[in-house]
Amino acid sequence: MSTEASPRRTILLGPPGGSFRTSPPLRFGHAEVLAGIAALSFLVARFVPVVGLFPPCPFRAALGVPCASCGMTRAFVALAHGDVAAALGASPLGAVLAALAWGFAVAAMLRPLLRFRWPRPAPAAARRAALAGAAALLVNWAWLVAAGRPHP
Amino acid sequence: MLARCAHCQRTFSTERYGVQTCPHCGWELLLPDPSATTPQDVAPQPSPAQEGAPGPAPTGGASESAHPAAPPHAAATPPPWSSPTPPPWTDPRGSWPPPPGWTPMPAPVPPPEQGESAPFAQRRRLGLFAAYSQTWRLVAFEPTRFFRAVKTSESGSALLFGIVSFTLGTWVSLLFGWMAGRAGTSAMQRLLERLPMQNVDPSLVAHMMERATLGGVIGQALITPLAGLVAIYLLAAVAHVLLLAVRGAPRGFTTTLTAVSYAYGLFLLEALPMCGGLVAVFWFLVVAITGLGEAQRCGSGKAAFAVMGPALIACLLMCACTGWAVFAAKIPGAIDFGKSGEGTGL
Repeated sequence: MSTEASPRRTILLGPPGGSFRTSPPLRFGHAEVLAGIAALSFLVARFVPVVGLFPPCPFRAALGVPCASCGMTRAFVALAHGDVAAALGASPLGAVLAALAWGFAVAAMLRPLLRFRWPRPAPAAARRAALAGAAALLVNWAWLVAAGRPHP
Repeated sequence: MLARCAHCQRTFSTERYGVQTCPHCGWELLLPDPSATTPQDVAPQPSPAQEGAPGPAPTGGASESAHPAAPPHAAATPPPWSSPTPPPWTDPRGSWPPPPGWTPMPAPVPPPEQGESAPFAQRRRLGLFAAYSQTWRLVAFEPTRFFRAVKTSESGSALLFGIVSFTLGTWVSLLFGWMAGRAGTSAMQRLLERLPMQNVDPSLVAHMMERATLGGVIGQALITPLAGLVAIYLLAAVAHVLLLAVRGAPRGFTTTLTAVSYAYGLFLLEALPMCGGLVAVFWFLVVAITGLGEAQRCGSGKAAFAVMGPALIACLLMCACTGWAVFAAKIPGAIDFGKSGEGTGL
C-alpha cells in the first residue's frame, strides 16, 4: 500500500515543550508523596488513638488561649470517624483541611485510571491561594479564641 | 542527525527535514525544519540565558531526541550561564556577569536550571560515606555557596540525605535516651512527687516513662524514617506556601524541597548527647533560611519569613497575650474599664 493511498499518518516531531501532545505521564512525583501523606493522616486519625497520645498544647497550658492549630487533631479524628459536626466544632479549618487532604489523596489514587493532569496554577493564583490560606488560619484562630474551642 | 520515531520510539539517522518514513515501523513522520518560519518562531525569542537553559522535562518520549541537531545559529552562541567547565564547588558567581558582548539579562527572569550536582547526588562515583560527609560539611559550613550552586532538580538525593541524617541522629538520640532514661525518669518522678506543684500533668511522666521502655524506643526507631519524610515534606510545603505569599518562590516546589531536605541534614546533630537536639534546631533554622534564600534567589528576608514566620507570629502573639495578662492582673479593672467606668481613668 502506497503512502499516497493511505490516510496520512503524520506525527509532528518538535522540540521539547512543543506542540506534540501525549497523555500525561504517570510518574511518582511530589504530588503523589503528599497524597500519600494525606492518606496516611486518614489511617492514623481513623485507627490510632492520637487524641490521648500527645501532651496538651503548651501554648494553651501557658496562656489559657488556644493556639492557631488547636483542635486540628480532634477535627481530623472526628472527620475520619464520620462525625462532621464534631470536626467542625473542634476546628473548622481542621475539618476543611482534612476533607481537602483526603480528597486530594483520592484524586491521586484515581489519576492512573482517569489520566488527568494536575492543575498548575499561575504564580498569581498560587499567591492568592496562599494568602487566602493564611487568612483562613487567622480567622479560624480568632473563632477558636472567641468561642473557647476546642474544649480542653 | 538523529531522530526518534514517535510511534515505535526507536531512533534512526536522517540527513533531511520534512516528511519521511520511519525505517523501523514505516510510520510517516514530519521532522520540522528549524530554519523554516513557524508560528513558534514568530513568538518572542528568549534571552540568551533562557535559550541555553535546559528546557522543561519532556512530557512525551517522542519529543526528546526527535528534536534535530542544534540549529546553525545556536552553534555560534556561547553557552550561557556557565563558564566553560566550572570546577565543582567553585564560586558560581564567577560565571556572572557574562562576558562582554552578551546582551544584558532582564533582572526579573529567574536563572535557568543549572548548577552542580551535590556530592551526595554523586554517591555512586564518590562512595557513600565520602559523598555524605562532603555534602554535610558543605551544608553545615558553607551553606551560601552550596545552595547557590547546587542543582535543585535533584530533590530525590536531597530527600534521601535529609532522611538518612535525621534517622541516624534520632536513632543515636533514642539509644542515649533509652540508656539514660530509666534512671532519669524514676528520679524525675520522685522529684515531681516532692514538689508542691499540684497541677503537674501525670501524662508527662507517663510519656517519659514510655520513651524509656525498649518497646517504645524500637517503635520510634522504626517510624523515624517515615517521620522524617513526612516532616520534610510538610515543612517544605508550609515554607513554600509562605514563600508564594511573598512572591519568593520563582523556582518552584522542587527547589524548596531540595533546600529544606539538605538543611534537614543538620538533624544528624541530634546524635550529640544533651544539647544536640537544641543545636540541631537552631543550626537547621540558620541553614534553612540561608538555603531557601540562595536556592530560590529570593533573599534572606523572605526565606526567614518562610522558615520562621509561623513560629515568630506565634511568639509575638504569645508575648502580646502575656503582656495583656500581666497588664490586666496589675491594674484591676483594666479589662472592663470600658464597661464599668472604674478603669485606669485613661
